[in-house]
Amino acid sequence: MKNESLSKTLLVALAVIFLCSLMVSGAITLLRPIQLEQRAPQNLLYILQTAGLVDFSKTQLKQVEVFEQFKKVEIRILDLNKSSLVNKTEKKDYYYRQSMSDPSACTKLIKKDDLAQLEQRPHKIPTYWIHSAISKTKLVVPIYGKGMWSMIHGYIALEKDFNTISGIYFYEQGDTPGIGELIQDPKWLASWQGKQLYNVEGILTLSVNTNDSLSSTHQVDGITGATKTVIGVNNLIQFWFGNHGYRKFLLKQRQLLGG
Amino acid sequence: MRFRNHLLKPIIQNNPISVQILGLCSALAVTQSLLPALVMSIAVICVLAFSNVVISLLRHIMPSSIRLILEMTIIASAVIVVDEVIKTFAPEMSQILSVFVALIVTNCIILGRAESFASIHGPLASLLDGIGNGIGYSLLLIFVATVREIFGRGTLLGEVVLLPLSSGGWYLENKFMALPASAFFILGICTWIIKSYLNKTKINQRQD
Repeated sequence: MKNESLSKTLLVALAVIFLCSLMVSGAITLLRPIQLEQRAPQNLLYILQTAGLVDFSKTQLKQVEVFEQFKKVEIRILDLNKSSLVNKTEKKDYYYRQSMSDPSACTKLIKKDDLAQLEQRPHKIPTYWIHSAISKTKLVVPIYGKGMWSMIHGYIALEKDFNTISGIYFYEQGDTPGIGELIQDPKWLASWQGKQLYNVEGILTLSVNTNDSLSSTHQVDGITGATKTVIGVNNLIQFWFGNHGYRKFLLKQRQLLGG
Repeated sequence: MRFRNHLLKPIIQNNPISVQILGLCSALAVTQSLLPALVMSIAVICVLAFSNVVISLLRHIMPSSIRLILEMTIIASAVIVVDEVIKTFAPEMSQILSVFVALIVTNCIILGRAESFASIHGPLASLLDGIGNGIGYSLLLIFVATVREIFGRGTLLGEVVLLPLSSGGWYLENKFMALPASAFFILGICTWIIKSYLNKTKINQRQD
């Protein structure tokens, strides 16, 4: 067969392409797991951001630095049904988002309780404890709920009294482009700082305002133009800090402090 | 003897950068400091040796109508593998080198050697030629990077050599050295020295 014949041209081309693709896909299959292991999971960064330990809008962190910062954080799993922590400290982050849609790992919610339109809520959720004298934040917990179109995912950081908010961050939302993003605005997020969840009687009084009433330590100003998304945020706060969320656990922690 | 020449000739006498004037863009881009230049050098040597050997092995069966495309496919695959290896084992370095590892594909040295050498020589000679050219490229890269890092930042491989004014020393950093254009001047001077040296030896040989 001559080198220039059509069949030989095709054959050689296909053989070379096949071998090259084998080489590339082989290398990537071998290397990808190592790469994933080295990459600091993005949500570690979100947790640090919420806790106020880093500010990635200003400085870019190397992976090593993220892991270094994260050494200050202790991961404990919270059993939401018993409102108590599972005894041992977790070494690795616990991906609650996998269990979100797994019926066997969730409790079904009846319509009346399902303020954030979740349908079901995981039994277990990770909590992040910061043991540092300098840091204002003591505890970071995940929150999520339905916005206008999409699930909004975020973290909220609480001070040592388990009542005062020291930071909040929404890392994922798919609401109307250009409007949904308003809840990720650093200025608005900063307005949450110092707000209190519960009153003296332990009743959840924090709300996000969509009308112009006076703001107080229990009210966060809404965002004009993103009303529906903000209602979603308010709903998810009402749910996660209500009886089916963190309320019982947080009040227990508060009592421990008092006693 | 002939094989030794394949390896040694491209290092100075037929240096790809200073004599053949190939692969200049990466020589300008990654020579701000020594460490990325070293990583880049190793990457180029690997790709060059690999592509030369493979192309040499295929030289009798490659139809000439699709020869260039096949050569590019082989080179590009080798580059992807090298890029992934760097991303895996030196992720921060891969951020510094950014697209320049991927751009080895377009580095004229590699296709140049494939076309002018590997497609007419055997695999062993091609391997040596690939390594030789890679070393020739690396030598200049390392030289330029050393000069630029010492005079541009006062450091070498991150270690302080000339204590800069900004951290309380005496050395005022040469800002020009931090710019890619400075590599042009250093390369120009290198080319001048190497070429005038080569001319001199040529004249001497003729006189002998």
